[in-house]
Formats: sequence, C-alpha cells, structure tokens
Amino acid sequence: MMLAAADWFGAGDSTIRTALVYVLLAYGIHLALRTGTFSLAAVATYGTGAYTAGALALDGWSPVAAVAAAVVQAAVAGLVLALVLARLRNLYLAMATLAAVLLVHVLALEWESVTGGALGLLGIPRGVTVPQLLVIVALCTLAVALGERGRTGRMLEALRLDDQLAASVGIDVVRARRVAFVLSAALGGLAGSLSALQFSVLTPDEISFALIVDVLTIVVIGGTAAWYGPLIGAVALAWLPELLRWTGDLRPIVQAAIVVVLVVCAPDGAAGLIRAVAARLRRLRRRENGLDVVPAVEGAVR
Amino acid sequence: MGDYLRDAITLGGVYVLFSLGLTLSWGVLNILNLAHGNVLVAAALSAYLLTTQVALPMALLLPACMLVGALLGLGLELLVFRPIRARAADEESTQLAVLIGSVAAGALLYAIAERITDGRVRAVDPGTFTVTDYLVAGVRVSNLQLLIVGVSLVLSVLLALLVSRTRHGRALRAIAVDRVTCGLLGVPTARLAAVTMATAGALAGAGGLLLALHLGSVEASMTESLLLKAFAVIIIGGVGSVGGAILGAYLLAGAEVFSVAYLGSGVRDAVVFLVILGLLLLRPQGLFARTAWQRS
Amino acid sequence: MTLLEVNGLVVRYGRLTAVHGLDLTVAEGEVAILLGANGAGKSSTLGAISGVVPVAAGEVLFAGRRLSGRPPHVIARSGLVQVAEGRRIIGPLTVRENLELGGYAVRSARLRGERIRMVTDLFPELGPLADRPGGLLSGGEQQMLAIGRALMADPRLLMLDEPSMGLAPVVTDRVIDAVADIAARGTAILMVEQNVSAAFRVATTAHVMERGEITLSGPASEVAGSPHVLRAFLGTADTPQVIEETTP
Ligand SMILES: Nc1ncnc2c1ncn2[C@@H]1O[C@H](COP(=O)(O)OP(=O)(O)OP(=O)(O)O)[C@@H](O)[C@H]1O
Ligand SMILES: [Mg+2]
Repeated sequence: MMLAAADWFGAGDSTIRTALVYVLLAYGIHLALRTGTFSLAAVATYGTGAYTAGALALDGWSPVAAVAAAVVQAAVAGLVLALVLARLRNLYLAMATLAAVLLVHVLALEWESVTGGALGLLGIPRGVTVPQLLVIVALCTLAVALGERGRTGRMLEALRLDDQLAASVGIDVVRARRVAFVLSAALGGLAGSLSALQFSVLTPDEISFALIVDVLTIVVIGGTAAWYGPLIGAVALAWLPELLRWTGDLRPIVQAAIVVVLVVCAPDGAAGLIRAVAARLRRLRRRENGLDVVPAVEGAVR
Repeated sequence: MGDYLRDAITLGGVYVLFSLGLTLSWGVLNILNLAHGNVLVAAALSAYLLTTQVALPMALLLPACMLVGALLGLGLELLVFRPIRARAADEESTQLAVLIGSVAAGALLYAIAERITDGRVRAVDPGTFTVTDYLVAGVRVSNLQLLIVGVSLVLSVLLALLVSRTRHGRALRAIAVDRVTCGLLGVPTARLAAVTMATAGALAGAGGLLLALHLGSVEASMTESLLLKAFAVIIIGGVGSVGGAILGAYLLAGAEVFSVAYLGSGVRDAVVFLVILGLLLLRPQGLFARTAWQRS
Repeated sequence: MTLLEVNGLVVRYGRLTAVHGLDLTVAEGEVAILLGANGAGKSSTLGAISGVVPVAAGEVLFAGRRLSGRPPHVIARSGLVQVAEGRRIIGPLTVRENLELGGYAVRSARLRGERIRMVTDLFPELGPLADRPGGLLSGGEQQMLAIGRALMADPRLLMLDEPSMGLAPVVTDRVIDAVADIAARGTAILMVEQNVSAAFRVATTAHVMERGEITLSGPASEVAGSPHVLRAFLGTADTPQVIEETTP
C-alpha cells in the first residue's frame, strides 16, 4: 500500500487528484450497492455538488464553506430523490437515477445564469491541496470500512440479500435504505465539490455518460465485496492509461474491451478475489489444525 | 399546425424504432440494455461507411443496417448477457450485473465509433436518395419523412402482431413472467432470448439509418439524448408493452413539438423530465398497464 | 418396460448436497409416488430430472436416451413434462393462452385445438374460463390449468410436484382423481405428494425419501403400512438408518 502510494506521486498531479475524487464518488455508488440497490444518484449529486461549490467559490465563499454547502445540498437532493423514488426498485430505480444524471447534464447546459451554459464555470479558485484530499479520502475510507463491521455490517448484508429477511430480524428496511441513499448522495456531492475546487474549469461534459462509465469501471475492477474495492478500482482506473500506453491510438478500445471481459469473467472484482483467496487460506489453516468442520449451510448462503 | 403534426409524427417514428427494442428486451428478458443506443450508432455508422464505398439503393441499405443491428444485438446476448446470466446467483443481482455489462459493452462500441469517426461529425449521403418535397393536404412533406413514418409504422405493426398473435409471441410474453416454467413446457428460452436481442438490434438498426438520414450526419454520441426520450416512452407505455411504446413515442413527440412551438425551445427537455418524474410518482407501471390479472 | 431410469443422481446447491446418489425407475403405465419430509430433496430430484436444477453426478435416462445435461426444453419435448411446485400459471396470459403455451412445440394449430378440447374434457371447469387471465383463477382451477397445460405436450411421463398444495380436501380429491384418469389413458406418472392418503389411493408404486436418499421402495400397498413412511414425515434425523433395497 505504502509503495503504491509512493509510486503514485510520480504520476501526474491531476491524475492523482482525479483518482482521489473518484474514490469518493465510487464510495457513493458502493454504499448503495452494499444495500442491494443500484442507484446512480451519487453521480447526479456529483454534478450538482460540483456546480454548487464552483458557483459559491466564484462568489467568494471560502473552500470549506463551499464544500459544506455542496454536501448539504447533495444530501437534501438525495433525500428528495429517495422520497420521490421510494417505490422503485431494481431496473426502475436504475433508470430513474440515470435519468436524474442526464437531467443534471441538461440543467448544466440550459441554466446559463448559474452554470455558465456550455462554456461552464471558468476561473474557479483552487482551494484543495492533495494532502487535504488524501486526509478526506482516508477519513471516508475509514468510515466505510468501520461501517462494514459489526452490527451495521450485518445490517447491510441482510439488506443486500433479502428485504424480508432484513425486516424479520428487526431492521427498518425503508429507513435504512433512505439513510444509505442520502449518505450515498452526500458522498457524491462531496466528490463533486472537491473536483470543482481543484480544476479551475467545470463544464457540463463532466457530468455525462462518460462519468457513469468511469465510475462503473471502478466498481467492476474493484468489486463491491469489501471497502477496499473502490480504492483498488480508482487506483487501477487512474493507472490504466499509463499501463496501456503501448496500445497507442487503440487505447480507449482496449481499455473498454478489458472492462467488458472483467464484467463477464471476474464479476466480483479485485475485492471479491482477495476475499476468496483469504477464505481459502483460512480454511487451509483450519484443516492443518485439524479443525475441518465446515458447516454445510455456509455454501448455500454464498 | 399541419407542419407541427408532420414534425411530431416524424420524430415519433424515430422514437418508436429506438424505444421498441429497449422496452422489448426489458419486458421479456429483464435487460435494461444501455448499449442499445450504441447499437443504433453502429448501424448509422455502417450506413456511412457503406455509402462512402458504394451507392446502395434504400431497398438494400435498410436491410443492411438492420442486419448490422441484429448481429450486434445477438453478439451482446451471446458474448455478454448470457455468460453473466449463466452464473447468476439470484434474479436481482443478475439484472444489475447485466445492466453494468451493457454499460461496459456500450462503452466499447462507443470507443470503436469514436475511432471510426475520428471523434468528428460525419456527413451521411447515400447518393441514391434525393430528398424531395411533396404537398400532402396542404402540408409540405419530404420523401424522407414519409420513409421514416412508413418504416416505423410497418415495423412496429409487424412486431405488435408477432407478439400478440403468434405462438412465439405468446412464448415471449410468458418468458417475461416466468422463464423457468417456460423451459419446463418445452419453450427454448435461450434461443428466444437471442432472437429477442437480435430483433431489438434490428429495430435500432433501422432507427439508426433513418436518424442519420434525417440529421444528414452521424457521430458517436448521437444517442445520449435519445436514451432519455426512450425512458420517457417506456414509462408512458409501460415496460414491455409494444402498443404502449408506440403510443408513448407519438405522445412524447407530440408533447415536445407542440410545447416547443408554443412555449419556446428551452422547454423541450423540461417536458421530457416532467413526463418521467410525474409518471414515476403517480403511475410507475405506465399509463396503459393492466394489472387486473393479479389476485390480491 | 422401463420409461425413466435415474442412476446415482446427486444434486448440490453450493456446498449443500440435497440429493446424494438417488436411484429410481418408473415403468410405462406406472403411477409412482415420491414421499418424504420437507427438505428431503423431492423437488430437487424432479427439478434435476426435468433439467431446471443442475445434475452434479449420476445420469437420467428416458426411453433409453440420456437426458441429464440437456436443457429443460429438450427434455420436455422428449415427452417428460413436469408440473412445477406451486402451479406457476402465467398470470397475464388467459387460460387458453396458457394452454397454447403448453403446446408450444406443437406446430399445427389444429392439433393444438384438439388437445385443448381433450384438456377441457378432462377438466370441464376450465371451459367457461378460457378468456380469463390465468392469474385470476382459484387455486384449484390453477392446478387443473397447470396439469392441463402440461398435457398439451402429450407427455409419456408426467411429473407432478405436490398438486394438492394449498387445496381444500374436496378439490384435492378432484385433482388426484384427474391424475388417475390421466394414468388410465396410458401416461406414466411420477408424483410428489404430502397428502399421503390421497396419494396412496392412486399409486401403484411408492418411494420414500429421507435426507436426499431413497430409503424404501415398493408396491404402494406394501409401503403404505411401513413405519418408514411415518418416520419420513416426522423427519426424525437421529434414528439409525436402515436402508432397505426393494426393487419394484
Ligand atoms: N435453490 C436452492 N438453493 C439452495 N438450497 C436449496 C435450493 N433449493 C432447495 N435447496 C435445499 O435443498 C434441500 C432439499 O430441498 P427440496 O426443495 O428438494 O426439498 P423437498 O423435499 O421438495 O421439500 P418440500 O417438501 O418442503 O417441498 C433443502 O435443504 C433446501 O433448503
Ligand atoms: Mg418440494
């Protein structure tokens, strides 16, 4: 981990910044996926958060205040979305939140007085340094990692597997999902606002289908099995262009093809792989100690 | 008034061709295929590539584009969706994995399209087809508009008949409800899934050609706005409903054209969002869906 | 003559083995019933035979042809049709459309029409319901529809999974009588049934299943009196297992 981080500073500054912002956005999607919902709301609030922070910073707000305002705005937007879309599940929810992303894109284009239209916001004062960004990412990672342990972890797992099961063990399913939705949206807003305050330009093109593809690439590479999935995925996404430099002009095609192959062949991503290997090692060790009592049910649940 | 009606019907025709495939694969196979737009672009691009080589008459160009669409739809099913489905844990996670798979496949098609067009807008001119205007009941109508309306009408009526009247259509409607039971009754579900995806692709292929001719150009990102329209159409018509999609497409196109005419062009997308949001809030099953078969 | 032959069938879900090494034969003209406690593996066995549940080991032979590993629709078309647990009527399709669906493999519309008439002769209750969505039927009507739908393919062997589930006693008798009628026309039957007394009324052969294995097989009249049947339903796992080999 340390080595990778050291290497990383060798890469371009903006690559690092983008990757770190993407980690936060990916956590937004990750959080929703952990509760068994496919919601792109975080991508939509990434857009609104970026424009909120960017516009406020241009108005002279301090970076901290602009980011805070963007996060609050994103959380409120998330709550509204959660209430409006409360009845939707699965593909319907995916479609509705995707529509929300496209709506943000259109708003950014059309609402010129606030967003600057197609040209976007120019000259946003830079207000976030890489070390600050690293601290924020570390804190969020820690929060997600802690959230996956103990009681909350079991709750997430129950929600992911089966609503009825979750309800039967006393989880308020509706409320839990709503909380996850709002947190996911807030993370998206945080990522967006930090992005706006790092690159002095913000255009509508940043909130488009390409962003969704990037985020899902992170999810695919990293996997959703554990908190370190998005981390691995974001680093990998940032590294891919470098790794594939030899493919020259064909790089976008090769990269997209790799992602397709991963979706089909390695659906659990890096995190899933690590988990599987760890589980096998544990079992091996247990066998060496002569304690090979594998409960039969374990297989049925996985 | 007549001009608006003509524009609405033409636009509706394009929407129909794009939305039908999307609603079909969702309704029958539970696939929200986000690569559908990229299939349309691929067909439009092959029209561009073909017509720069040879001057093909429309009677060959249209089937060629539909074939490209069908092959891509088939490829998606066989290479991406079916393998993902095969190791499915449960229905929900399969749907999500297939959705993500379609985004990835769409990104691949997009990257290829970007490479072919070199990231630019390419003019499409079949050479064998000159746009001429006619006067129909006092309204100026071009032969291209007639073609769009005619092709979308014929294809959508054919599809509606296929689904409602034939034993294959009956099997498709049944697969949408319970795939396993269909297998037990001797229905080759895997083959019908492949046929469904190929059909959806062929419809998108026809849509791609007609849209490219209508705009006079193709570019890799030409469907992003279309996707949103298709969502609205599907929500109006109800997922999986062929008749609903046809009605929804013309309703949406009408709403767009007339609101732009009377309220200005800024409201165009607002209308679409209002439709999506309002229906999601009030009637997520669509305006025309019947749920009377469910016992409470 | 042996119609269905199952040798050493194993069914696994992940690391859980639901069926281990099951042997079973059904002869032409036979009405075989498969009994066992909840979770004994009865549905898994039927599912594996009809191809909707993967076969981990062993083989399924039907009329001499090896069917294990083939997709469900191929198995159904070879004359082995299953009525799944819980009826599984396609709700939005009408009764007639559900029946037509059962005859999917029959190309001729005329032949399908004849079969529909045959089904409505067997279940006159379905006649007036032809244009009603299947989802609106009562439980008993749905069960009749499910059986009629399976008959549309003109099976040589009909497998039924708990046809009496959730039905009132009178309706159960009606359904079981219909099964006897079908058998009388020469279709072999393999039926899973929890309603033991109703099942024994029509059975010629009975198999008792416990924890993934067949522990007793024999002519229905002999099996009916065996303490195995009681034990299988109490599901007492701790009693030492006595595996008796009885060939029908
Ligand atoms: N799809 C599945 N995934 C995991 N385990 C399963 C699955 N289906 C069945 N099982 C398990 O396999 C075992 C046998 O189940 P099966 O449904 O075959 O029993 P059954 O004899 O039909 O029971 P019942 O009388 O309750 O219908 C049970 O322990 C069950 O939990
Ligand atoms: Mg069962």
